[in-house]
Amino acid sequence: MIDATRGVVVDRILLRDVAHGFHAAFSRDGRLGVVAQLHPKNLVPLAHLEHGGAFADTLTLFGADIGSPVEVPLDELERYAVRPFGVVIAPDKSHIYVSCQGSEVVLVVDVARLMEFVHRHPGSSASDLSASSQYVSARVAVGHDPRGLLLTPDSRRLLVANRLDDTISVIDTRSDRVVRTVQLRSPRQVSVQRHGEQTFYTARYSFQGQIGCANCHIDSTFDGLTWDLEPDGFGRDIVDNRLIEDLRGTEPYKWNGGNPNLPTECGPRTEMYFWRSENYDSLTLTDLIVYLRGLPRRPARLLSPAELTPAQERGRTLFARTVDKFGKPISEANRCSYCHGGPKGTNQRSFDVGTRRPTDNGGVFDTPQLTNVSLTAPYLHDGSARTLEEIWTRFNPEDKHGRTNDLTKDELNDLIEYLRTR
Amino acid sequence: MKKLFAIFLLLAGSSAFGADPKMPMYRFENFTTATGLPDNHVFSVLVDGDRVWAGTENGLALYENRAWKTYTPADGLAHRAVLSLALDKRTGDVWAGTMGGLSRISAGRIDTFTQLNSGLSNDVVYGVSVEGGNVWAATAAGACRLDLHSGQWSLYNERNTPMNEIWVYAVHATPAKVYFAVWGSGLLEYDQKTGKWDKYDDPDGETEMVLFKDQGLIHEIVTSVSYVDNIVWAATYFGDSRYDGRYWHNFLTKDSGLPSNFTNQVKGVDANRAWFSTDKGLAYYDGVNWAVYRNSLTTGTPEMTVRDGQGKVTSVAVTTAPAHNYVLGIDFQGDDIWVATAKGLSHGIRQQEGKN
Repeated sequence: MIDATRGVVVDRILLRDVAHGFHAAFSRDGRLGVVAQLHPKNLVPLAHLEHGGAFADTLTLFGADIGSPVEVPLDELERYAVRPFGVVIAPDKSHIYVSCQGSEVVLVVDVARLMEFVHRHPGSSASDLSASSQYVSARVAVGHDPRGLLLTPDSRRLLVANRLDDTISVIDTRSDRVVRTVQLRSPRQVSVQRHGEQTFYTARYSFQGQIGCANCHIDSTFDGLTWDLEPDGFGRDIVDNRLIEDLRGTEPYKWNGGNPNLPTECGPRTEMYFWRSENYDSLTLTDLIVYLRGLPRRPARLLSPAELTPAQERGRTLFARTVDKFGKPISEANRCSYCHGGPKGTNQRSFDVGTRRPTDNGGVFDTPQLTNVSLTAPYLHDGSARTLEEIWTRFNPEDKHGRTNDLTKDELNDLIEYLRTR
Repeated sequence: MKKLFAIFLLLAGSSAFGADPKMPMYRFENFTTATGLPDNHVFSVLVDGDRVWAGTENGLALYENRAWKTYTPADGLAHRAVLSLALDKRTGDVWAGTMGGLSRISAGRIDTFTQLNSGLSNDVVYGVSVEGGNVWAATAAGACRLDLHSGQWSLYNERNTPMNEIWVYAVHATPAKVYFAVWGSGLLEYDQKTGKWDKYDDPDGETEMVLFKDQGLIHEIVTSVSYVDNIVWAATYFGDSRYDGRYWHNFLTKDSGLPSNFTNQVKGVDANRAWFSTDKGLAYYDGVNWAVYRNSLTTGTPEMTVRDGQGKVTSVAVTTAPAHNYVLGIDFQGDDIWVATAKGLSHGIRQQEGKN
């Protein structure tokens, strides 16, 4: 909560266990606030991703009408509200409208019934799949990846931006039906990339339409969380999510390097472990992969690799060194530039860098690329290093993950400054 | 005759005849663990409007709406011993230097930076100062700066600055200059525009003698620095200094109103006025006169003494004093002062003359 006059943060409302809050709205009288959010259930004991129920799609309500902030579910069994994004509150506070990206619907929430539910059920109801039927009054099908919402001044029309259709759905708020779809300027034929992107964001391929690729790869990036993906025992092989930008030349995939290419990564594995339903047909899979392969690396906003600072130059020298500070040669496999060489920062091989945990089935891991590494915290295969520094200050006691224990603190800072340019 | 007597009285009351200078008077309200403070050993104090933050040996305390709230490592604070505090005026965030790292407190959320999880030079953060988009930290192993915009950490130690000791005790950052108080290595100055460093040492070397009065920094063991109105105020364990860029003026107990040469903190008000937190009381200097606020060293009762420019010392009748004579820091709240001491936190409520 920011005091707009003073421009300072004056309060925070904790969104407990929520990894992604998207949009927030206030009622006109300022007494009711709503946040549309995604609540991952990635913490052990996790009912593995393949068992379903790995995400809850919820709202957080706050403000004078509510008292202590409370989380309420939007999902119903077989009628999920995948990735709630946009939210608006009617000026008369009669309804809340929520766009759900993955489910490709707009939910209409009856505020009076919602308030009644909240006051009868104090505390969070995030896991109660019977709750939302008590206050969700309508579910309106719109286009692919609905995002922003706008109510007309008379509140009779709700406009919905369907990002991946280039259309605007116009919903009559009295009948809760789409009365018109406005086509914006766009190619007549859906391109392969566009179809691939639609496939990426939809939840329709998963069992009961629970999740889509974008649940973990938020906006085609990643969620910064660790997951227990496979049914090999609760809490075993916890893995950190990875960036999917500029993927060409970074195969194999998975931390154990088990998937040699994207068709394998997104094909049978996805079907078995994630969707638990029918998978893509071959053309859809191809379109999806074309989309993924085309995801560019985001520009590094704060760093200019064209002209490194002195600290970054020193760091680059350390990254490329072959001899340590005592003049002793560093073995090839223990040089930064060996494993993390090449334009993407990976030699596409797997190594044991001394980071195996008792809960890991194996200790040899695929070398991750360094693309935008400054943005991809946490680090290591299980996300145990919260910052780049911790990779070496906490998790490299025996110099198995590069020869670094001879460095001073400022030299380590220089190395990290260089890595932040990748 | 009567006329002569009246004229005599008039002159006797004027400063021409050495009348007592009018120094600020306070009624001190003291806070201890009995009144909500988490610990009586208060290392630092920071005022932000109506909120008062106290860095204690057992947590960071916030006084607001006449109630105390304490933040501890259970809330994410780096360490229970909070040595220094600074306010980011742009955002309202408070930065706390502790014995175990640097924490940022932002409307209840605490983020902690340590030497293991960040580029912080050392976990023992004696001093912190926020200026513009940079956080400067004085640590037991050099100084560092965090650029809040880019996230870059820059380290300063004996390898890239003139310091020969790296135990940095305090820092004060301004848009023009950043000053570091280095324990055993004098005063370090960083020019923000040119990126150049300069160093000020005790011309007497590391002796406790003052061979050259007002010829330089009073001593190498610098504990605190304050830069205001182009004047550098420096505190040491062996006296204090004022530097205007050309001339030094040093203060010792033998030739000033300082109650002790052992000074934990100096805080400049402007070019002429400053407060000195010593181990034998709190002192205020208005450019000519001194006032000392403490408990009597002999009787333990509250006392206030005023020393004028000629060295004449008078007592002012008071009924309250700061919680303890070992004063570690001070901050201002309008005309009031808040004083961190070894045995409590004191709120000095400004009084009109003659009332205490």
